[in-house]
Amino acid sequence: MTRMDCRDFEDRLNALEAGTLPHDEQQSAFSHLEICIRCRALLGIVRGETDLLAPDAREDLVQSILSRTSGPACRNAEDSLCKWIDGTQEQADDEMVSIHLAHCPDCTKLAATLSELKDVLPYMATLDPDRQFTADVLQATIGLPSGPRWRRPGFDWKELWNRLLRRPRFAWEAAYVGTLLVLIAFGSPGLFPMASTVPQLLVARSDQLLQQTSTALADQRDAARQSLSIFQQKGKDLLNETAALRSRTTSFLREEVTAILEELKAGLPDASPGPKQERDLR
Amino acid sequence: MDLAAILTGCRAGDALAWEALVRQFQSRIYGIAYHYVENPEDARDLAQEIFVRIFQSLASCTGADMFLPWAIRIARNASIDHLRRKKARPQARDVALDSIGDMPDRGNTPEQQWAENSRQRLIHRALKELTGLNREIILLKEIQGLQLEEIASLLQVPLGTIKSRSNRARIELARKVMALSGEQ
Repeated sequence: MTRMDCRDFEDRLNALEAGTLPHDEQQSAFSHLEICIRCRALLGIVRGETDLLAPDAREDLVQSILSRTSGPACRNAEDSLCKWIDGTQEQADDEMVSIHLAHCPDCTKLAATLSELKDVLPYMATLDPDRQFTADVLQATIGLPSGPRWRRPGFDWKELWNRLLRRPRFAWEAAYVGTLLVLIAFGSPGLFPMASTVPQLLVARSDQLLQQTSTALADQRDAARQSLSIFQQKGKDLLNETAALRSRTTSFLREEVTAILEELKAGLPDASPGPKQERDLR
Repeated sequence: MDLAAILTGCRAGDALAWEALVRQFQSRIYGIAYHYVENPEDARDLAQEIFVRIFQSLASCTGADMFLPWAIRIARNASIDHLRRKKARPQARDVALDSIGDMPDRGNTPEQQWAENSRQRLIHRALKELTGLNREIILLKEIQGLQLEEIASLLQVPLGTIKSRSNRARIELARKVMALSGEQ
């Protein structure tokens, strides 16, 4: 058996752990371990029996490695949490989630809440109404005049119509159907041959009405013009007659006054008016 | 009592069977109605309307094992109709969530029962904050215990969507609960 130093031991460490080291060298390695503290510590580290890192430092190291490589695994854990709680995924996946949860407080809280919800939610399926509820339902159903369908030999169209009317979307659906019918009627000439002529008839009738209206308006305009010209003529005639009457009245009055003056002049020679008085009399 | 026998009696027009069916499922139907309308009075009226619908169409329910999904489908449709009507005719007042009646107890002491009820109210509040689809998935899968296929059929959503959303909905609910309870 040859004597082994630390360097020789380190060179043969992998073979020793793998169990492939020859027997005599294995004996030399064990002999070296008996006298070398350093190599014993090294073997403990390689076998995972010794951890040089404190727990906090170990977690820091993991987080540093994750941040420089894959990033935090919380999202992946979240995707598997429900299956982990339900127990519906592979054991290996379950174990990986468990390892993550052991070091992630946030995901642990989430898992606890999910687990609680899994227990609580089924109890929320039922909710007791008041005691009168059953009686009200029985009265509302057994007392129904229509009753269950299996008791009715024929189909109740009235009931169907009432149910349709009670539906909240009935007005909207009726408007939709109406619009659809109008579109089919006026938008598909092949489906309804008469439908295609209806717009043309409407246009022709509109033109005819328009023409009649314009003719009537023209007639009324002419009649108004004629009436206006007649009024103008009558007005002129009236003015002329008034002027002639005024002229005749003035000449008549002048003649009458002249005659009176003549008679006065003839009857009273001494008291004949002077030129001023004669002018005032006129 | 065996549900199949109750349903057979109901189909034969047996009023006793119908009463048994109502008593067996009234808490669950009322619970579903409450989860949708979040108001005890509305939930009571709605639950009654749901039972009327169940009564009128019970002949179309083929088997006892299909009754619960079928009833939940009717309850959900009626609840959505109710919510649409309510939206069209908004009411003047809303009853606070805390006015909900007590949750069914599990035989605990009054203190434990009170703690559980307050926790369930908290979960109710958290549920209210979920998105519509996630909330319905939680309601139908975790609370009512329907299968994913039944939920996909009920919600008319692809099965893959329900599968992928169900776990996310649970996580979202858990986070809301933690936030409301100050654990986050």
